Amino acid sequence: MVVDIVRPFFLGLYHAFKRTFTIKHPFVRLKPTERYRGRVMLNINRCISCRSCVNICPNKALEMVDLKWKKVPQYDAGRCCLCNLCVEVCPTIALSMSYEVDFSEYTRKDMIHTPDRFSQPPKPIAEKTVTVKIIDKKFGVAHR
Amino acid sequence: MVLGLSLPELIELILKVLIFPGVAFSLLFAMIVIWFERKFLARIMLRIGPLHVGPINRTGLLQPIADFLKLVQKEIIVPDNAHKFLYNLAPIIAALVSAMSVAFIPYAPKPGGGYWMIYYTPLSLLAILAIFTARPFIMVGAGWASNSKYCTIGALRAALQLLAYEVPIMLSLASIVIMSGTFDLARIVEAQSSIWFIVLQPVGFIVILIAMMAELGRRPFDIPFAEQEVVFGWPTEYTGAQFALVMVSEYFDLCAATSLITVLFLGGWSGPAIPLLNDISPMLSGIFWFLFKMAILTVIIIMGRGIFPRLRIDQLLDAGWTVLIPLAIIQILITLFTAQWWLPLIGGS
Amino acid sequence: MSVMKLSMGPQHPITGHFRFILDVDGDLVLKLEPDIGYTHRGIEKLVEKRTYLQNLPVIERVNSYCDSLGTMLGYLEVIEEVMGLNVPERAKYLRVISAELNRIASHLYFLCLTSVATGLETMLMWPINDRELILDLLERLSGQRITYTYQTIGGVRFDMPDGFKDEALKRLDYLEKRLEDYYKMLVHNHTFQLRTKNVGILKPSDAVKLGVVGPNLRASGVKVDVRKDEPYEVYDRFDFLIPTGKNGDSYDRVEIRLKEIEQSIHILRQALKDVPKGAIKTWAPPIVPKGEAYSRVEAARGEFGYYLVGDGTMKPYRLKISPPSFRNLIALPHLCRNVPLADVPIIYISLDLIPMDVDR
Repeated sequence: MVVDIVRPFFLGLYHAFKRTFTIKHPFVRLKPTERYRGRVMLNINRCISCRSCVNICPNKALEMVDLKWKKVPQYDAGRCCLCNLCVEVCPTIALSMSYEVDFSEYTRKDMIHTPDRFSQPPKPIAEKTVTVKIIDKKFGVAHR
Repeated sequence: MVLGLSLPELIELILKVLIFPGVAFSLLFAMIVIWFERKFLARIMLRIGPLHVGPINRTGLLQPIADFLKLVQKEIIVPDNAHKFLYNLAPIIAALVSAMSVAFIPYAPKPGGGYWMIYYTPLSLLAILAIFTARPFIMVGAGWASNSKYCTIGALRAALQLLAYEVPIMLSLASIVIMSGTFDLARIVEAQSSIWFIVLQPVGFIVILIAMMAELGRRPFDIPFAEQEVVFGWPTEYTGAQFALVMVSEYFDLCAATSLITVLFLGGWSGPAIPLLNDISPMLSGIFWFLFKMAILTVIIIMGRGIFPRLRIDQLLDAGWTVLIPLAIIQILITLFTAQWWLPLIGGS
Repeated sequence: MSVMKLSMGPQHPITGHFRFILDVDGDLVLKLEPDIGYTHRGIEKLVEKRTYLQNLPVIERVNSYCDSLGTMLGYLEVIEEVMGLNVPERAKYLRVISAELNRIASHLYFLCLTSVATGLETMLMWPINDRELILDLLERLSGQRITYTYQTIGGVRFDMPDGFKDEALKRLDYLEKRLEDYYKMLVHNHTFQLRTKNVGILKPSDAVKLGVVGPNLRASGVKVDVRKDEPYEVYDRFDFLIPTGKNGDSYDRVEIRLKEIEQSIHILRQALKDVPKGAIKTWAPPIVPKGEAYSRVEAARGEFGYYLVGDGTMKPYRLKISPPSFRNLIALPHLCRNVPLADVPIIYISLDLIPMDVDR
């Protein structure tokens, strides 16, 4: 019984001297993988206005609008659930997913991305990015 | 000639009350311990504690002061059906009573004879014990005056726990009094000049350490505060400056309790003289050793929050009545029956 | 003797989004009555308005932050049974790998909630740190950390990237050693055992009568697991044990989930070693013919049941979801009769109830 009380004491003290696990967001960020599904981006030159993406979206986040001589989709970022179905179904690979996840605005109207905002490339990521790594066989996981 | 004292004695009294070990020392102790607790527990949980506020980069030293300033400028909300007089008075009394206990503890011997304590009395141990016994009444008063279900349940549980753990404390103190023969705290420290009482009474030390953790309301005896079912216990309804006073009174109690255990079991100010401090004044190395021993005890008491879950109220009372009290009584019997071996070891008069 | 009505409301530090109405007499709880419906979203109605492919994100959010892949497996099983579709071998192996990884993540999250209920904050942080390893693996596989949409009708959507196998095996070795720390700090902690032993004892006959499923049933001593009784996907090719408990109290329910993490690591090692080559998806027709089917899968919390009625169009006619937390909820008023007030959070957390499962 005494062993069960004393053992957590030394285990806790051991952990007090290990490297911490916190990431100092937003100065340091987690590195996104290549497949990371963030905000959807449009390549206007490749769109052929076939409306497959509008038909398949589960939340009706895409809607066709006029742009000069053709119709292209506009994107409601508030309704999108990042499911990747529209990217998969597009026949000309006009839609793709970027790594941007902080696209919040102050009003609901600003969350509807018109085609010029829809085709903007993502914001550059912070200078320092870390991923999770095992640094010690028994006790250590850290962000490096 | 104020209060029957001459001028140098008056200046000394004001120094003691305001700076050390009075107001400034207690507040500084509270601030440092709050910062240390947050940082140390965060490191055990593999995270960083306070980070941005403060002069040195990445340490967050001024975070407790920032929290205090934020609390002071908030609105004080008094519930509708509360008993207003008692509700507003309780935090002030809690802070004052907890701060009063350091007045009776000797911190170092003065070079010309006498001791550095605010008020000298030959019964200082009894005075501190009386102050500790007054705390449950404040909690019950505050809990009843808040007029809320959670406060009532929390206050009753606090009273049960604190009253049950008074008895082991008194029994361990009784064995100390038997060994040294006096109620005077300064004489008790003098009696430990050749060997500390922790070596002669190890069981008593463990009993008083566990019982003090229960008196203060520290994990694993955390039931008066921070319960998961009863939102925050008896100070649930307090906001603003009253909440700050309640929090600070908890750390004043910690200061008093660790000082008491240091004086009784760890030899107070005794230790080898440090050359640098001794040049300025021989009192300073005594104060240094006293603070060092207080710091070790504080670290042990704080770590209990990181490694133990909370106990249930009936298990807690069980542990107090069936385990700690017999251990304390065994300690008293051992002390009485082995008198011939430790009597020559006690120094002083 | 006055009875006080206490309401542990939807916003409370420990119950999540549940509401309980307790009858309390002093320190003794006489009766507990759950009041569900705070997170009801009407998923069974939403599902009828969308096609089968558009339903994938909707069904996933029945239980999004803990165990979405186990939920999806049941939905896909029932569709493929009505359609009569044959899924390729590589897709079956990948489905099992992702489902077992999700089960480990869900049980680690359970450890966090258990330590919060008893008051130990250190064991809240350590499993969340180690759960990052698994979420990172799943992000390399599917692209997201919590709501994956990884499995689809006829297979899976993405293939394993290079270096996934070695990285996964390294991390599983680390997790297995880390479990010893959890035993030392939480399960064998003397105060934790005082708090959870002989609390909320569920006898085996009572458990079978009430209809409790999942690890709660196994902790009472009844050896029932859908992966062994009616194997689906490729579970019949792996060799794993089913742990059972002895007494049926809260301590057994916590310990059995740690043992299940060890068994999941065992399954994952066997699965990662012999994943066959091949296609990851077959073509699935958009129309489901007329017919009905029922399927059961073993998610992290218990047994999910799905019942589908298809009627030859692209949208389902009726889909009924039977989640495990709803079936386990009936054990809570049964166990919380004449217990001290401090035991109610312990019993609630050890049953592992998720309000989103219950309300759908």
